[in-house]
Amino acid sequence: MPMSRIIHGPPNWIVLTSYNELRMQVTWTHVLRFIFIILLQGLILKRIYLGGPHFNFLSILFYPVLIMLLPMKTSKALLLLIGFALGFAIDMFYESPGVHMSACVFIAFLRPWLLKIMEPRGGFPINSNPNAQDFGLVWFMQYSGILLFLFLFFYFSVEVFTFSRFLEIFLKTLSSFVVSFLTILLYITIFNPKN
Amino acid sequence: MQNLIQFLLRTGALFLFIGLELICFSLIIRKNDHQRQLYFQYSSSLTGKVSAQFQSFIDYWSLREVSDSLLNENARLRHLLYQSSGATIDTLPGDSTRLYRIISARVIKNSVNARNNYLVLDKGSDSGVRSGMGVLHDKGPVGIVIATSRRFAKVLSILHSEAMISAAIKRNNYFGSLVWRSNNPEKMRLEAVPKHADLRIGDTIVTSGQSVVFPRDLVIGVVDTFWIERGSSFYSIDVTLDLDISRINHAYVADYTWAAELDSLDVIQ
Repeated sequence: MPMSRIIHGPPNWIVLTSYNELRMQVTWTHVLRFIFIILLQGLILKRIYLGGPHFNFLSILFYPVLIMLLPMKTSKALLLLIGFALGFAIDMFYESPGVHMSACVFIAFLRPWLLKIMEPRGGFPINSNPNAQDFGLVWFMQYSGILLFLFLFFYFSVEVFTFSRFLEIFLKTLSSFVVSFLTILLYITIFNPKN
Repeated sequence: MQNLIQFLLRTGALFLFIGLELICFSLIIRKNDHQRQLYFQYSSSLTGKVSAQFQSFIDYWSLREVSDSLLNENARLRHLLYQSSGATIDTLPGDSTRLYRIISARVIKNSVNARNNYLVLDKGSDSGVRSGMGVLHDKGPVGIVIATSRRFAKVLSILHSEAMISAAIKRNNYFGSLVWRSNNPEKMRLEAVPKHADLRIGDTIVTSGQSVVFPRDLVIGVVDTFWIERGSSFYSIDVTLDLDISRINHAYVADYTWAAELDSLDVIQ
């Protein structure tokens, strides 16, 4: 059934989707996924020190997968606001007000651009979503890999807060990228999110 | 106008992004100690260079005044020197004034009109200035160093809502804490002096030496008015400062010689 669009409404970046689309997409699955991953990240993964006390370079930060898996039609403004709220929640656990927030907002801003670049020939199919189910594992690995790397690089830059220690930022980004990326793959293999 | 609105709507997400990031970074700088210190270092070394240029121009016009005040200071120090080399014999190893190494510095940035005021000095970590040192002037305390870069130091003025100085009434040693409640740079409020203390208008207020940031018995000002709030057992005392912070162009950083040793004790709970 074709969905009716508002013609003289507010511009594209404000309109989320029409009411029907909204009802279809914002399901309990999303809410539960957010709660589950935020708690997993904040309560468990935060306490895992893979590198031990003397090699503080390995942190598992895989919650950005929440931003990656949001529905394709989520508007730019909503993406940014969700990223902001998600970062706020994670910052509560990490006791670092603003640090996670800024990185989340950053990748929420880049996501639409990346999706535009990675659009398959002929455009995205209607009602498809950026996950492994719809586009295959290889596509999803590229997509999530790029966003995760950008996220980690931004995050560690803000955490270290000076580019005079660039090597430290780079090392932290690389080593954390490996473990976080593996965690994302593990997550999508186990739960196989569809929408 | 129509074009402007269309432009704003089309690039709305970009503006929202910039707005949200601004909120994030203001949070980062305000609430995270590590990032805040680095931020102060950046900003003080950046604005320090600009202010130093401007101040060198201003200094030229006030050379006369500076030399006068230096002469006064020299005279006072000479006076002290003669006094102590005379009859008095040091029975204790090092009296209170000798516990401090004094670093003289020029004030290159200063404000008194904000609720929270800061100063910038032209001496930094290269000259031995470190965070936590007290900054004073011939006529009283000025503030506390909160951040240093190699050539500059940022000072939290006593005219700051979070500044708190331990001060005492010179005549009878009752002490309290001196804070800045008003927006008047000439007045500060002395609080937590118990109400059984004998107090008169015109009493001299000095630093108490309860903290080692400032040497003890440094004159701060005189009692202007005092009263007791209803239900309180402490005086509220308005103090007129001797020092006019809006006019200073040089200051001394007081480096307490055994600060590190003292800090090592404070760590033990």
